[in-house]
This record gives sequence, C-alpha cells and structure tokens, in this order.
Amino acid sequence: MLDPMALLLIMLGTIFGIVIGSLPGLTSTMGVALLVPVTFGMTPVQGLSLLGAVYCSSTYAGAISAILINIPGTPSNCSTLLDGFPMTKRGQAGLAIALATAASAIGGFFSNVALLFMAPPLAELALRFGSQEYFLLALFGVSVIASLSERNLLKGFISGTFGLFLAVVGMHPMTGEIRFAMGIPELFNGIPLVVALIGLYSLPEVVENISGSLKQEAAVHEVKGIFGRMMEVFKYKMLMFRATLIGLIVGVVPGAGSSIAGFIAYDDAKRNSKTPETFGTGNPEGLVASETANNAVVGGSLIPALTLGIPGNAVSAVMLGGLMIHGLKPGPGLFTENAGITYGFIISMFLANLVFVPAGLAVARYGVSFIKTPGTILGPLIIALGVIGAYALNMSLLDVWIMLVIGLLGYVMKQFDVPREPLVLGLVLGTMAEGELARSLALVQNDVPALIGSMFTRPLSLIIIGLTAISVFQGLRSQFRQKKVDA
Amino acid sequence: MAKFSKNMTMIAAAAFLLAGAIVPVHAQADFPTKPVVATVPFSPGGGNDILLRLISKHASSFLGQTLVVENKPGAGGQIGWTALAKSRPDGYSIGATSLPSMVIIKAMRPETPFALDDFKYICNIQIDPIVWLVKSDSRFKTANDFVIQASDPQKKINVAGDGPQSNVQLQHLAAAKVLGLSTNYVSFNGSGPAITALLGGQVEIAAATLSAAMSNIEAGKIKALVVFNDEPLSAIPDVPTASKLFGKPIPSVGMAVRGLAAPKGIPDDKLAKLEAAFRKVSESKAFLDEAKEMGIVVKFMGSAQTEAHVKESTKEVEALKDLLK
Repeated sequence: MLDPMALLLIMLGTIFGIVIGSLPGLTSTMGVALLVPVTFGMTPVQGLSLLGAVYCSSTYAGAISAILINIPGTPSNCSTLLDGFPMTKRGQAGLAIALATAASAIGGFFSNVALLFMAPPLAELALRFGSQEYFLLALFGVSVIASLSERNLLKGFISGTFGLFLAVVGMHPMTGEIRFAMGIPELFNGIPLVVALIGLYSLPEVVENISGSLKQEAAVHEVKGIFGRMMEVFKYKMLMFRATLIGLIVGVVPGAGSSIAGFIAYDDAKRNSKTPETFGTGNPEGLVASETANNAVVGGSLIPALTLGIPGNAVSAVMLGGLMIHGLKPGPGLFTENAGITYGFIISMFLANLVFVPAGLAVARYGVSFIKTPGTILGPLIIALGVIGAYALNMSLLDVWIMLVIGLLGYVMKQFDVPREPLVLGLVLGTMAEGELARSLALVQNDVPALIGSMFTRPLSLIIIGLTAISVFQGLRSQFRQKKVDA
Repeated sequence: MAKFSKNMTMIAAAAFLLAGAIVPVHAQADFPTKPVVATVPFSPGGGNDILLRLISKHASSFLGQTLVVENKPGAGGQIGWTALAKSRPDGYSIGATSLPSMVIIKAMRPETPFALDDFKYICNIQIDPIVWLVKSDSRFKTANDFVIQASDPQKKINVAGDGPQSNVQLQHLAAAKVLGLSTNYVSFNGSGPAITALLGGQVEIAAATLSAAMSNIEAGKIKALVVFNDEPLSAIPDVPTASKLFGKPIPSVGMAVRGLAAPKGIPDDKLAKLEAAFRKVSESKAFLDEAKEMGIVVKFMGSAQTEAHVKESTKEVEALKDLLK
C-alpha cells in the first residue's frame, strides 16, 4: 500500500512539521494548508501521507518550544509548558523533550489504532454530542482552573474570569451583535487565541530576563543518553492510557479544540498523582499527560472527518479539503470503495508517529544548546520570533499589536503571581460556553426548565455533570487541606 | 546652462514616460510573468477555499503561471475583501468572491471599508444553492409536509443552519416569508455543524449549502427536500426546485455564487486574459470531473455577466435584509 516515495514524503513532512510546530504562531493548520498545493502532482496516498506526517509532527513539535522557551508552539501544547519549562529551568530540558517525544508518539499511535478499528462507533459518539453537552463540557473545562491555580485559588479564579470576559469580545454567536471590538474588524471573530498565547508567554519572560529580576542559574543540561531515558515514559503507563482516552474523545467531538485535551489530561494526572503538590514545578507526569493527550487528538479528529465528512477541528478540516481535492469523498465509501487509499493513509500515520521520534531527539540535542545562548541575545530573538509568529497567522500587523497588549497584561499578571493558564482556558472555553448555551436555549425556544430537565435526563449530559462535580469537590478539598498544612 | 539642463530633464522625463508606456504594454503581452496570488477571505477547509484550491490545481496550464492560494480570514470575509480592494490592480493580486455574503456584510455593517464596486469581477465559477435537509427516516417526506407543520405559529419548528447573518439564514427566512412559515432558526457555526446537529437528532430539519450536504446525501443518511434555485441541477435530479414545487416565485437570494475578482483599475487586457484562462479551466474535463466528485456545481459566467449578477444580488439583499435584523 505504501511506496518508497510515500516513505520519503513522510520523512520530509515530519521535518517540515517539526519546524512549523516548534515556531510559535505557525500552527498545524497553516502547515498542512501550505502543503496542500504541493500534493497536487502526487498520488492520493503520497499526498495524504505528506499531510498526515505534517499534522502528527507539528502537533508534537509544539512541545519543543513550550519546554525550551516557555512559549507553546501550537495552542495544543499550552498545558505542556506548565511542567516542561520548570524542568528546563532545573537543567532537565533533554529529559523533558525525550519524555514529550515518547509520550507524543504513544498518544498518536494509540489514537491511530482507534482510527483504524473503532471509527464508526466513535463517530456515533460525535453525533450524540449536542449543544448542551458542549456547554457542559466547557463548564467541566472551567472546573480544571482549580488544578491550574497551584496554591491560590482566588488568583486563579480572577485569571479565569478575566479569560472568560476576553472571550466575549467579538460577534455574538447567535445574534451577530459585535461587542467590545472597538470597530476593529480583526476583533470581530474574537481575540485570536494563537496571538494571545504568544503575547502571554513570550513577552513576560523576556522582559523579566532583561530587567534582571529573574536570575537564571546556569543549569547544566544533560543530553547524553536521552534515548535511553526516553524509556522512562513507561513508568506512567496508566496515566498515558487515561490521557490517550481523553485526547481521543476530545478529538472525536467536533469543535471541542485540541488545547482543552491537554488541560483535561493534566488535571486528571494531577488528581491521580501521589504528589499533586509538585505539579507546576517540573513534575514529568504533567508533561507526559499533556503531550499524550494532544497527540491522541490527531487520530480522534480524523474519525468524524473520514466517516461523516465532519472535521473534528481546523486541521482536520484542511485535511478533508486535501482529501476531496484528491477525488476522495468522505463517508462510509472511504472505507470500502477507496479502502486502499484510506488504509494506506492510516498506515502512513502510524509511520509518521514513529518517524518523529528520532527527528525529535536530534532536535533535543541542538535545541538544548540553543537555550544556552546568553539572555541578552536569546531575549530579543524570542521577541522577534513572537512578532513574526503573530504577524504570520493572518498576515495582519494589528495582530502584532494585540499580541503586545496581551503581553503587557501577562507581565502584570506575572508580577502579581497570577497564573496565566486559567486565562487561556477561559479564553478557549468562554467562546464555546457562551455560544453553546445560547444555542441550547434557542433549541428549546428559551424554555429554561426544559433545558435543565434535559441536562439531567440525557445520559451524556449527566456523565459530564458528574465529572464536573467530582472535579470541583476534589479541587476544593485539596485547597482546604493545603490551608490546613500552611496554618 | 540652466535652460539646457531643464530641457534635458524634460527630454529624460519624456523618454522615461515613453519607456514607461511601452514597457507595460510589452509586459502585458506575456502577462502573467510570475505567479498570480488569489486571496481567500476564509479559513482553509471552507467552501471557497476548496474551490480555489481545485482551480489552482488546474489553472497552471491555462494561465501559464501557478495560481497561489492565500487565506486571509476574519470578520466573515470582511478582512480579506478589504485587503483585496486595496491591493495593487496589476493582475497579480486577485481574490475569491462569494455572493451574496459580500453584499450581506455591506448591508449589515455599512461602515465596512470596502464597496462592491471596488472590484472588477473576473468571472463566476460555482453556484451553491441552499437546500432544506432532513434525515432519511424523517416524518417530513416532502417539503410540503414540513410546510404544513411549520405553518402553526404556536409551535415553531427548529431549523438549524449556518449563521448568524449568513446567506443560508437569508434564504431560509426569505422562503419562510413567502410561504408564511413561523420557524425558529438556530444558528450554527457553519453548514457542517448544522448538518451534524441534524444527523445527531438535535433538530429535525436543516438549511445548508448543497456542497456541504452532498457527501451525506450520497451516503443516503440525509435527503434534500427542496433546492432554492430556479433551474434543476443534474447533481440532484430528484430534488424539486422551490418555485416549481410551491408554485410561487421564491428568490434564490441565498445561493452562494463563487468566483474571482480583481481590484478595480486592472487593465482590460489583463482582465480579459484572466477571464479567458478561468473560462478554459471551467471547461476542462479534468476540472469538471473532479468538481462533480466534490459536489461542486460549476456555472461559468464571464466578467460582464458576473457584474450584472452582483447588481441583481445587491438589489435582492437590500430588499430582504431586514429579515436578518
């Protein structure tokens, strides 16, 4: 099913994807879209192998910049930096990248297994997800804030609420009314997430570095033998199993967004950990959970795309476009009439998940020397990368200004020790929560009791409500215990 | 001496102007000499994006250069179209157009910084009419079944569709007005999600573009009750057109009509070259075969005809825009 040319293309696609993914602002969507025209001259299997390899490797490679310079390369890697960057500060950058590589490969691999064998039943799950389930899922996501707030729930809460407020900017999802956009068309669709992420994470660190308020100790980075240390990932078998499941489900549900998969898996890892207090200070468990989950999204997001023609996220929408241009129609026929091509493509995705392992480890070696660069050189370089990334997204200078303003906000937050992750979560989930609640209400024609009633009678809704209740309860309990210890 | 140098300057200037006048003519003779960039004002993966990428796949041999697709999404197309209106009219910057969306944006947001006559329309390639969709096992066997049920103002039926303020919503509301229906239009984030909601049983009926529905129609999961378009389409021979079915004229105001435009001021010969190249693309068998596979209904209109369509679409939208408020 796969010819040597396809193998070569997988390797090239992987290298391209690693570059795209590790540069903040260049997203997986953009990487795949850029290569669609390149595939025109190829056979469908070759073309799709190339696109699939870019999707897999760019999702993984976002972890590299998250770990090394504390900026998520793609929004999916936002939860990776929580423990990835502290590991770097401790001199374990090599190990962190090795673990992220292995975890990504495993998450990607097993979600592909699901794509290969369980696509139809999982696609059914995607259809069961209605507006009210999306709304409840968003609420569940918000409950993760407690996990992200380390010691100060109040500060986390403020940050999360502010994120929810920022999500209100732009067009109302049901009425089309434009709010708080100040007449700027770039804001009509809301604050662009990628741009916000770049600002929030790149500026504060650099400013602190340059102003000398953060004395970075010259950590010794051990990179020898990281191939062997990669195997340490198998210490976390159960954790990776759960994270794969989370990523798979979030991926299958269209439009849930891959960034929340990482956060939910992170929260799950923390709650099941023996040492939850070490999360955020460089606990490999958080890193592994996050990376396993976001790569498990890849296979998941292709399930509704291939079986129903409904893309699970923006990248799979572009992949679907690529598929159609090669004359393939999404739907059940893909697995029967065009079985050769479809299975060839899925097999190529397995290979892609293997190929990025050696490529990623090579990057780890050189990447580590990159961060040994003195701060006076590295700082401006990061700012330049950030500006280019913010501009490149939509080729809009205004996005650069948005990035700088949000960067300033991030700096202020950092000065007051307010965690930034709840803000990201609020921004991601606010749009979803607002839109889906408005839609749920429209569907019941504003009959609120009926909506509440159906939330407690539809099984899927009830499951999500249960998970949210557990999460809130556990969060509050651990905060309470923490206070006791402090007292 | 001063006079001499002034004369020399004049001569030089004249020579320069002459040269300037000659060079472009010369260059235009073999226009295009470098890749032509087509802006798509939407994210990758949408209807316009897929059409343009398909055209770009086939355009090189007719254009003599590659057609590069560049996405510039945001504000429902406003950002990309504003950029196109402001770009240099040298024939190398063109962009995807989508009617009536361009007209709706202008009608809903009068402060939008582009005008419809900022563009010179090169051609139209695709028509994408709106259909009413139900699941194959729906209680609505025909569009009339639905119309009867939806005529009761006490019990509004939910209709899922792209929105708010989209061409799909405008089409549905225009039809509802003519037929005297009282429905509850529920906006989804595109035709794809609206069809998902239909498949998942969240709604009983959806309004969507034909291209978005095609793969699920062919798979037999959903069926189109009626198509809001005046002429029957070979892609869906069994689906009746609205005006014929209901016996009254229903404007196909929401039908997406997709083509290409350049900023105004583009030289006529360059416009003609582009128009000719895209005409040949739209007539080539390879393109038509693939378009058919993808559920794209090809309808080529030349520059003049497209300009006329824009005027007509503007008139229709203006007359019905209050439905969207």
